[in-house]
Amino acid sequence: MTAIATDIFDFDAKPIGAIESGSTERSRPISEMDDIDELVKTHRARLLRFVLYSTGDADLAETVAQETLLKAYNSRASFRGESSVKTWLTGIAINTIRDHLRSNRYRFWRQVRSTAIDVQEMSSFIAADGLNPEGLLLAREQLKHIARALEKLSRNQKTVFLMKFSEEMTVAEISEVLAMPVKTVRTHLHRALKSVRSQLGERS
Amino acid sequence: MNPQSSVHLSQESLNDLLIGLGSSASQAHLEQCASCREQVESFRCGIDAFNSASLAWSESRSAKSLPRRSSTRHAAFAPLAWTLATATLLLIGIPTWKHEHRAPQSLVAAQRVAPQSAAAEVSETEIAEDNDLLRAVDAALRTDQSSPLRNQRPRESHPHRKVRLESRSL
Repeated sequence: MTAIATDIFDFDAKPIGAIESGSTERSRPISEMDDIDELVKTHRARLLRFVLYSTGDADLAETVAQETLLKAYNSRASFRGESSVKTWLTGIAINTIRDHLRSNRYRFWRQVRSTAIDVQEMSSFIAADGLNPEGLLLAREQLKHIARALEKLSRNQKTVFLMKFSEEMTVAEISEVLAMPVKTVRTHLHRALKSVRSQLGERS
Repeated sequence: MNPQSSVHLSQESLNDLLIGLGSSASQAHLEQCASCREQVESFRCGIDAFNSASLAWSESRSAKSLPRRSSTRHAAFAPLAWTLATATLLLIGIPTWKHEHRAPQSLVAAQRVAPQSAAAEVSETEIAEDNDLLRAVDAALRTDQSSPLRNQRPRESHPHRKVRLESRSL
């Protein structure tokens, strides 16, 4: 099996160039990026979810989501329009997460407080439409198992898994955003899938 | 039984299908094999539930915590708004500040006035008493009784004392 590449949240890693804010300016189509309200409305919830499961810290997720949107808005002129806004934002979010994780302040607060994801609370958000009570209970259990399985994944596996299955990005897009070879992305995905599916298998 | 479905897809092939990189052979097998299809469907259902619930949670969280931002259309008016806000603040702040700094002085003045009036009352009483005393002394002095000191001549003594006595006699 291919050796796993450097941690994408590696403290010494350079920002991911292709999606780092402040890249070379090129022409881009007029989009929702010109209106911060629209940008927030369209992307904040998705970003929050991505960062939340990437870091496992609800408070940090709030901060990173806000910062990501602000950075994106401030450097919207540098958006090339070669990828979707969602992909671009995900890249900025990854860099922002890394900045936070390597700060001493975060390391300190991480030790003194815990703002872990409340899976129980989250499972209450499953839409009950068309589900009988048994089906609803089953769906909630499934969600809990996936959330627990995600917690057990390595950072790289978790990020790649979320990009693929929550952000619905293609392997090529993930590879580009993370500046990671397609093969490595596939390796991470296979390992993550194996872990998550085995966790779901335990349920049944 | 279909020979194609007699051998199920390997975990790697199933994962490839889930990732979206499955071969056409795997895809064909999936269409015919209920067992493999069930595995794929089960995973996708779980992920869908996870995605929808976590997104709903994030949306609710965003609605709670996100402060309402002003539209970018209003961004051009931001400097004007700030200027107006500053002017309002100054208009309210300066008189308030002045008032607050005057208030203690008036209090002090009031505090000063109160003892003065009390002191005035006291001093008037004292003056009246003193006047009474002086009148009594005056009345006593007007009597014909001569002072034993009147007939006595001043002695030659210290020059200073002499001067003082002279000044008294004047």
